[in-house]
Amino acid sequence: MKKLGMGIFWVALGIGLIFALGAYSKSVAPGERGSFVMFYPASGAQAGGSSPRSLTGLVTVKLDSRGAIKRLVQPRVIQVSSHSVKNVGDTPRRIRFETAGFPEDTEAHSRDRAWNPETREIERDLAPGAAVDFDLLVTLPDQPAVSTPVSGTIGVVDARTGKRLSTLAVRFQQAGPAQKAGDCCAP
Amino acid sequence: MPRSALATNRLKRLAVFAVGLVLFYAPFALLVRFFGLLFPASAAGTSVADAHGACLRMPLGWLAQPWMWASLGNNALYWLPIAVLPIAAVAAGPLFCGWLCPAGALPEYLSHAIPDRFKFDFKKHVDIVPLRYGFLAGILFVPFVASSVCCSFCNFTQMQNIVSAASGNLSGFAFFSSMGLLAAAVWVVPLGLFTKGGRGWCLFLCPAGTVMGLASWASARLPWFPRVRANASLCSGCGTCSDVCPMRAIDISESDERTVNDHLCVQCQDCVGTCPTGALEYRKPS
Repeated sequence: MKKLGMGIFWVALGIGLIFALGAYSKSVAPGERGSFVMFYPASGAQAGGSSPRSLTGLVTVKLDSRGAIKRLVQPRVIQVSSHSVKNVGDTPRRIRFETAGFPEDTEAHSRDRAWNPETREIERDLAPGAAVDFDLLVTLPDQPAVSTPVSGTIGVVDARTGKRLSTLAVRFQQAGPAQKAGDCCAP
Repeated sequence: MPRSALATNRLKRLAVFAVGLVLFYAPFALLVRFFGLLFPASAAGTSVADAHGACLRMPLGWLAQPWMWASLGNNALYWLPIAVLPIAAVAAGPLFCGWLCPAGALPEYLSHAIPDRFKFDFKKHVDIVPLRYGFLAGILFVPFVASSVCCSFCNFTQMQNIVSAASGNLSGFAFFSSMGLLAAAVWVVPLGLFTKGGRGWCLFLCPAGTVMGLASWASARLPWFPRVRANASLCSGCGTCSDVCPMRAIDISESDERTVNDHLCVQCQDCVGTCPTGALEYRKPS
């Protein structure tokens, strides 16, 4: 009986430790990376959002949530990534990614073999229903403005015609320390 | 003599781990490339070939993400960790862990550089098997209530980053997350260098290894399948086997066939050559 009780204790401890890790991950991830899904051709909320269940047309990275390790090692580099940039139309498309509004220091990646990092183009036709991944590393300015959040857009463009097929807004938000009346910068 | 047999076995395993590295990890990833040639329209055919091609952690995480199940139809390679490796573990034990997995081998081999007196022996302080299954249960079910740690807390990704960097591709080190850094540190330092055997991550935080251990244990008593087994009549109780076991799977206090714990043993066979009386063999049940 004692052995069974101890066995249950160790199982519960394992579950508890993973729960703690999961809770930590949940608390810091929104400040370190923006995960999203993106559909094309689409517009507005249909273009995508932070998950398939949350199509908002906007991805928000809450910088205040960054973990202590991230703040110590690499506080300014944020990843905005998607496992699924999906052709929801009915014709095959060749696509290119365009970004606008971000600080100049960005780096784009895809794990697709047809990815051309110079042109940011997937150099093959993507059939209806096909999806590719896309990562954008954004290096934020030294002091992201508290009152004016850094933001930008990720666009999917038809590489043949140049027509914009979808646009998703990304916002890096930082609340900063609470301001009180009398502070120099308080309104 | 037994110590030289141990060194020979470790060298043999190191050579096979190198094969595992070439099969699964970029820039080689030959197995992933082979599947890509067989199924050019699948994810294995269209994505960059690396360690993520044959991942078990992701399909486990998809228990809480049913919309991802379609990926199983789009990548035949996912069936390797989901079906082929557990079936192989039924037939011969978790040989993948003991002989082919470079992410398990790296901390194990690095830990040989640290004197044992500085290492923590989980076997002496923890009931490893239920804790291991507790971690697996957590990895499976915590995503329903908190964040999944399948991808963010992955040593395969860290290993891939190291191999890519060694081949000149530093992109894996362009971005660090708190969880990624924590995983890398825990994998190599407390659960690697400073764990007796060097395989603390394999013991607790690798769901693929735990699933294969379960498959191995469930089939170990069947008459057709070989495992590392002890012959109690030959055992002198010297404890050498237990001392060299990287998975802390041998308990010499029970001098019968249960001496080798089938939940944990990865069939590396370091113990077999080390035993001075030849009491351990990789064989079918007698």
